[in-house]
Amino acid sequence: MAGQSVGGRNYNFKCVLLGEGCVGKTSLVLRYVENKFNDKHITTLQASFLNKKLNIGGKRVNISIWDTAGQERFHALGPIYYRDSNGAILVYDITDEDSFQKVKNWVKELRRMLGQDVCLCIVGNKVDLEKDRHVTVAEAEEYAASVGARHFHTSAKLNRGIEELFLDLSKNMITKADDNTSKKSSSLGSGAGSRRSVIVVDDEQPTQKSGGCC
Amino acid sequence: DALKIPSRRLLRDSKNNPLNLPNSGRFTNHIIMLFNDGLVHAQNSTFTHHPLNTVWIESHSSEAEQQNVIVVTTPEDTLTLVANTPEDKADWFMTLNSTINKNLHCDKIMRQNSSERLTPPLIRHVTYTFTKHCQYKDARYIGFMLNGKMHGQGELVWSDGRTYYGKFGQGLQQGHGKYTIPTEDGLEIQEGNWKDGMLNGYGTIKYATGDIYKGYFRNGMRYGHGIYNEGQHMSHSASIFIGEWVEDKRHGYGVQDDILKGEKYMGMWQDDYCNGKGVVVTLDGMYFEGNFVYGKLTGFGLMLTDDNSCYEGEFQGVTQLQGKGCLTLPSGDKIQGVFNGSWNEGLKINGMFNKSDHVLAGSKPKSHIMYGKLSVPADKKWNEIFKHTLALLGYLDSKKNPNKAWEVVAVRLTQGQKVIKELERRSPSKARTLSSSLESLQTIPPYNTGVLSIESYHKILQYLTKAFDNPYHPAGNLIDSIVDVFRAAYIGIGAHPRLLHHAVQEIKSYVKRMYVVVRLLFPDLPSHTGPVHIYPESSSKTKGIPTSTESAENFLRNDSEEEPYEVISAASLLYPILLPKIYPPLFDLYALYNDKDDEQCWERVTKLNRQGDMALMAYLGIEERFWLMKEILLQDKSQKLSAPRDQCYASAVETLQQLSTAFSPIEKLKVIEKTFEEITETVQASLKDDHVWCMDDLFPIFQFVVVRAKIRHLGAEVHMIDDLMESHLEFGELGMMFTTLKACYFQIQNEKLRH
Repeated sequence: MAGQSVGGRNYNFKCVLLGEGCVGKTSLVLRYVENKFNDKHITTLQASFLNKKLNIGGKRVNISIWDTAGQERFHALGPIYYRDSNGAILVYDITDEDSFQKVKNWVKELRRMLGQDVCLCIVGNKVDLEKDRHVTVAEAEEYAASVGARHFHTSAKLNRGIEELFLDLSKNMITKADDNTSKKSSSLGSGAGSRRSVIVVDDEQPTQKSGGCC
Repeated sequence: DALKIPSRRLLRDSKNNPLNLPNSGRFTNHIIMLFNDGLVHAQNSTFTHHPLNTVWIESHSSEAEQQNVIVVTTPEDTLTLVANTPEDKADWFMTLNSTINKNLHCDKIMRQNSSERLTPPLIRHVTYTFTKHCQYKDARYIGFMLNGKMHGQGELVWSDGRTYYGKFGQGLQQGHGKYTIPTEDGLEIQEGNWKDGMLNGYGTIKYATGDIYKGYFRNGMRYGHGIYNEGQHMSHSASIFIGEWVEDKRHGYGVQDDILKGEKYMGMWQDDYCNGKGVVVTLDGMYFEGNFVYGKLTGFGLMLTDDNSCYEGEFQGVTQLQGKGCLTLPSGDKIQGVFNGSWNEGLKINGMFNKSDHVLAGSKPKSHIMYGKLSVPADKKWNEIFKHTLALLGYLDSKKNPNKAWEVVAVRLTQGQKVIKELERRSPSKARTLSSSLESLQTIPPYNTGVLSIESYHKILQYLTKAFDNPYHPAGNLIDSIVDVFRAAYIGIGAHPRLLHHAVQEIKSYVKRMYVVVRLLFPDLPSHTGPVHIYPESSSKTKGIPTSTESAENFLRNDSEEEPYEVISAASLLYPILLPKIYPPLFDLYALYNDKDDEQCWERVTKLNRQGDMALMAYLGIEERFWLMKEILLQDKSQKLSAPRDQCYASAVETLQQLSTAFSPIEKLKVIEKTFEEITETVQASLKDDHVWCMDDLFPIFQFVVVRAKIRHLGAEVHMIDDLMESHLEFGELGMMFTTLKACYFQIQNEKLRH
């Protein structure tokens, strides 16, 4: 019950940042943060962990953005990081076809592990390098629509599309959280309304191969 | 006749100065004689001699019907005497009084200044031998009496050797006392708090057999929470029971440790039998959970063995499988059918075998659907302990009054001071620390102001930390009992990996119930246990917090003003107090549970640590600019052979090593945070540019630190934080840092070693 809506009017969301090493996911959030915060608000983990408070239509939203290590060898660590996430931002480089494939893998995995409760945002970064584009807009948007994800084009360098991305994601997460709450209250007792409504014991101890803990 | 002794003088008798017993029969002939050493009441041919120092007289002339009455009280008799005239009565009265007085002075027991008094004192130090009293027949009493009744400090010695030394009241044992009973096998010693002649409240009995009971009594019987040690350690039928009692019988929740059999039962009792939900663990690693009926596991239950076989089905006793069931073998293969026999001696099975379709690779005890569901819920355990403290502090009164609770605390602390004074003679140093601790508890922080600010919260926290540490404070008393039962449950045979879940549930339940006690003393604390934001005194928000209806509303208030705040909860308040006291057994459970994984991880860590700093950094994929070895890299190539070891990020490594000495989850998280800070500082000092971390860079470095820190039970540490960390921290920075540690553990364990 760590996050989600507390009291119905305040929201506490966790959002993971996934993507290959050089797609610029760090610059993306840094840009977002630098525009909004002054230095003292940067945390110990700096760009690896960011906190953002928003006020959307009177609803107070707190988003924790978790960066992940993008190197291939750390791929297996994904589940540990995205566990209990409300949202995921999947970043690829529009000049790099490979990074888009990675995103597709992540989407599959996230849908399998977290189901429909997680809001996905696919982000094509580096639109300032439009001339080197290797992933077509149509392909990316079609794919996003097919997996129920939003798609955005951003440029960390030019600071384009970033504000919109986070605003849209936040709204999405609010809608989802409200849905879950109402579902939970309508199916009270079944406890199946939200995956976070019960502390599921086999909710996987990611540190264990066997998966189960007591 | 028999009363004639040379020194005895008759002073007065009822023949010359008439004195009658009212309501006496026509044919009985009563004579009252007063001698210089006693009052004799002769009745026909028998007589009773009352020594005067145990005679109390009282005039009762005010009653309308019975005029001129003198009531004579002795320890075992009361005589109501009637004189004919008021003058006669006054005469008798005076003589009796002066004779009693004289007698008392002969004994030189009374103080000199009382010689002037006309009436003898009501409280006297006497020696008296009972002749009739049903409980005290043939017992000699030396001590204080009040109006014919034993009162105050005294000593009773029976002719059969029994003795009682202690406090009396109303003619019976009352207050603290020690009762010794010689039996054929030896001495039985009962010591504790007496009321109405019986043990009531806390006490101990050392039985002649060597058994010891420590706990609560009611009317002389074991009642409430108590520990019973049966037999000597290692001897026949040695066992320890800790739990609830009703009328000398085990009844309610309790843990029985059968040392000889190597078996431990944790569950419900009734009429001295295991009855109800319960768990049995054995020395050879078996685990049973199910319903017990008169001492026997009966009906549907669960059995888990240490090699991960699992039986879910019907039982007729521990290890006795009988009836329908399903046996899952460690391989995952299943046998479903009707079972009959003993697990250890062979089973007759009539059933179906199912080969499992997927291979289960697992080194850990696996979870099972029924696991933890057939046992006693944590909230139902050890209720007597909490009930006792709550009752003491007046929780059960209709109106909860913190002032009253504090009065009780004050009384307890004063009692503690008395005990310390006695202790001073034996071990002055211990007494000194205790009394300084008591002194510091004299200042009570404001507890009922209706407002909770950061400042007042810290004062409360400080006070509670001390209070829970002091054995005389009700809070300290409570936590001592909790520590006792936790240790009793989870040490020895109880150090069983499958009990970890139960232990964790119990701790969470303790915190919940301890918080109720704490709130009784500090109603200012929020009424629910969840996370609540508090602000400094000066803050405008402080006033706005209604403590009673405190709820999530306050969580995440409008923080746009960025005021300093703290998030508090029952767990953040009580874990740092409780966990250090039960840390060893608790951590043992985690270590046992994660034993195999930790072993594997340790092997990897050892292997990785054989490499020098540079090799390891390269291996872990740390970018060269974070190696922080510019000078060395610039040096001669030949020197690289003697590559530095254990130099890089040494301060961060050292910091992380403190993880094992932090006892509560929040402290452990702080250690992790500090480690990250050290890493950042090290890098910033060296690179000097405005460096900003991203996970791609940070993760390998942190992994390097984790490897170098060589934490023996890393898996256990991670598991413990995971279980006990407060959920509101999970999404925060500390949560992220912890997740990174968890990921490192996973990475070390699972990454293929490249050579």
